[in-house]
Amino acid sequence: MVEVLVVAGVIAAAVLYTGRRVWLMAKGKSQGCSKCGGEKHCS
Amino acid sequence: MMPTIAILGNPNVGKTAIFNALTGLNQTTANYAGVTVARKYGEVRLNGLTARLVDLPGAYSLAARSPDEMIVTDVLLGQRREEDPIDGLLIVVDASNLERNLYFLSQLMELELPTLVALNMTDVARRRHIHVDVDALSEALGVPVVPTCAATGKGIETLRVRFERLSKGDIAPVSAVCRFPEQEHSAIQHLAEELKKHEGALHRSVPLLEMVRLLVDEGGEAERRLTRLLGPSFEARLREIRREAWGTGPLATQEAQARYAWAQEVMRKCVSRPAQRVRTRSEKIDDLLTHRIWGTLFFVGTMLLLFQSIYTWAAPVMDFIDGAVAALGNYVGAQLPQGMLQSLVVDGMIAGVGGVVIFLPQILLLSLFIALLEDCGYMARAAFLMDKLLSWCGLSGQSFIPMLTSFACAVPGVMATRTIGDRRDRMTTILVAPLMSCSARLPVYVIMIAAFVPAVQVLGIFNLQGVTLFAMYLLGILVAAPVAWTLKKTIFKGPTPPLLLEMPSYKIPQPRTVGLKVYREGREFLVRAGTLIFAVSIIVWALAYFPRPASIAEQYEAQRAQVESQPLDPAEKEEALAALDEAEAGDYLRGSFLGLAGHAIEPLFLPLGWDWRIATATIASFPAREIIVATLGTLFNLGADEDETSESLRDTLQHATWPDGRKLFTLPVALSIMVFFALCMQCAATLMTIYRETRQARWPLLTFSYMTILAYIGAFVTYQVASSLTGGAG
Repeated sequence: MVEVLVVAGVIAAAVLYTGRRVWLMAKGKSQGCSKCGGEKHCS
Repeated sequence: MMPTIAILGNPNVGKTAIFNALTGLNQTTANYAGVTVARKYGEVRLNGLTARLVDLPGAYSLAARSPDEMIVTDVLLGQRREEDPIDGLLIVVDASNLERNLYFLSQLMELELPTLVALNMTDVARRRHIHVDVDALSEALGVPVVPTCAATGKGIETLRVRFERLSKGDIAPVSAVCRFPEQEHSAIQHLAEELKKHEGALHRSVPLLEMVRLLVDEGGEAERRLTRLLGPSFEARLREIRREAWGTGPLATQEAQARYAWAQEVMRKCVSRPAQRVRTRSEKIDDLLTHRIWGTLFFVGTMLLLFQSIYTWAAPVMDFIDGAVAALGNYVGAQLPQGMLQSLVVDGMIAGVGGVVIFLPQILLLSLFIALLEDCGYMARAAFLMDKLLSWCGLSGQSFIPMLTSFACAVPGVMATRTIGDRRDRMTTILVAPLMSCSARLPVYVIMIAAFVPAVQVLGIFNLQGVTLFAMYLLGILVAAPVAWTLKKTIFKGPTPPLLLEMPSYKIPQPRTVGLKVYREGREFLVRAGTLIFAVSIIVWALAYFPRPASIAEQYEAQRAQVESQPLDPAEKEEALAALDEAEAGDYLRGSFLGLAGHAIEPLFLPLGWDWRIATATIASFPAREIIVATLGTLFNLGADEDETSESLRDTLQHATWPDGRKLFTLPVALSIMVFFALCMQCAATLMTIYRETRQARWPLLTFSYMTILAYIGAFVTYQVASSLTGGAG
């Protein structure tokens, strides 16, 4: 039971995190880019 | 309120280096023009005062033609609502090339703001035996002038002291220095009177600079804005004033003549140069490095060596990381009880992220070489050499810097197109820049080459693996040329603009600048592996692990019991049980959500030689390319016997088979995957940047469509041709 809960929690966190990153990427809202020095993130 | 100071000057005069020195920030610098394409902000802490410093893209003139020049004009004229008004100017000029810098400076002084001048690159001027009389220059301009050498930090402390005075408002606003011909001068006065009548509608006073731009730049941005606001009567009056001012020739010519006459006068008063022009060391080196034949050979040789060394030098560290990841997988696998959690950690997290992390040494080496070439000034020469190739496809060498930047990442590459004045050229460059092989493609190339291209010598000095990697990078350029040619002949039809390129002096790369670039690249890669790729690896694992139907477990339990009951010797029994374990893992994978979806799309990718696992990993990597490595790691690990010792991804791929036992990854398959990744648009961030830069959804859509179609056709042709040449075996 504990194993199922841990795995479910990890998957849910991964889905939420990926969803947020994709959403931010689509909106172009991310931290300043250290690679190009531009206003938006490169990666 | 915090005072806002703008830092301005021609391209590649060291503005960002001075910005970094004053603010303590580490914005990217390089030894070629056009590195800063967006404005950057920093705070300068002075004695009890903090000033805001805005680093603006370099420009040669305020007659805004390209978007980067427009940013400068907008900010300076206070036309951007989100920006604070500028309280003072820090103008950076190149001491070794002062005359040209004075043209832009004379325009900036028409803003009539408190101004401070940093006379930078004094070391280069000294080497060329150019002496600038700083006091005389200060007197001629009517502003404080501080000699600096931003690369070594010389003069920065004095500059800081003067900057403090500027920020505190202790430096008086300057008055215009350039004297226009009488007719133009009186036209400016008439315009000032006309604008005074509209003060109510304008809610602001119009500085001299804006009046000159209104008068000179016919149909320019300044005119468009004011006529929109003040209506047709103002437009008619402006035309009338222009007609009156038409004296010895077009107003733009009169302006240029007046400014250069003033600049020459300042040069006579303040600068002493050797009567005979001294040929600099840079010019002597350029005789060779920009030579049509020798320069091109040097360029190709440098690039070949670069890719060669990426392979040779990175190998020992990569092997070490590879071994460490495999050992970690084995150790963690042994500590956790067999089951769902163990699989998540070993097959999902460690195999997924570990597979990506091993490419760190190669990423670091590639960025080290690029940073060295950028900082020593060679990149401008490479742009010059590429001008010929680019002009064949209708582009100019101006497109080279954005395309070169795209080798690291297409996002800053697309942003760097802001320096291209011609819209058609800029659009064409934006659409082809993502074809350059960015660093995210490197892991895909490396894993395929390491596993399937033999490490044999070519021409006695090169390794076939390094040559293949070079060929993959070259492929992007070779495909970009006909694509650009087609675009320039169809949607963006127009003449090829001439290349105007400034050759910076060669210099020894600054260890700090190079080190920072390499560190940033490495950090970016690791952060990405530890965040997005980690999360995607978990999702891919979940989709490839569930559902786990009880029927499969029951079926294999029955078969195991059958094997156990048979009179076999222990070795044979173990082998039979291992085969059952592997078959069970394969059945689970095929029945998983990802397996079912993968089998549905498999027919589409069979002509490329791919099975459903490669197809699924490719589809999963559309948001970001390097996800394929993590996905392949998870998929092929899950499909293997769970008790098996973890191998490196390279070994796992080498042993992967079709259900009928044929080897899955052959040389034709590996080449077709590499070609697909070289040409395909798998980067959501780049598509969003194209949208932001063009403000139209059709351009990212067009880029995505043409690149995906091109990638599929390229991969298909590669697989079919390579299969027929190798008999399909590889």
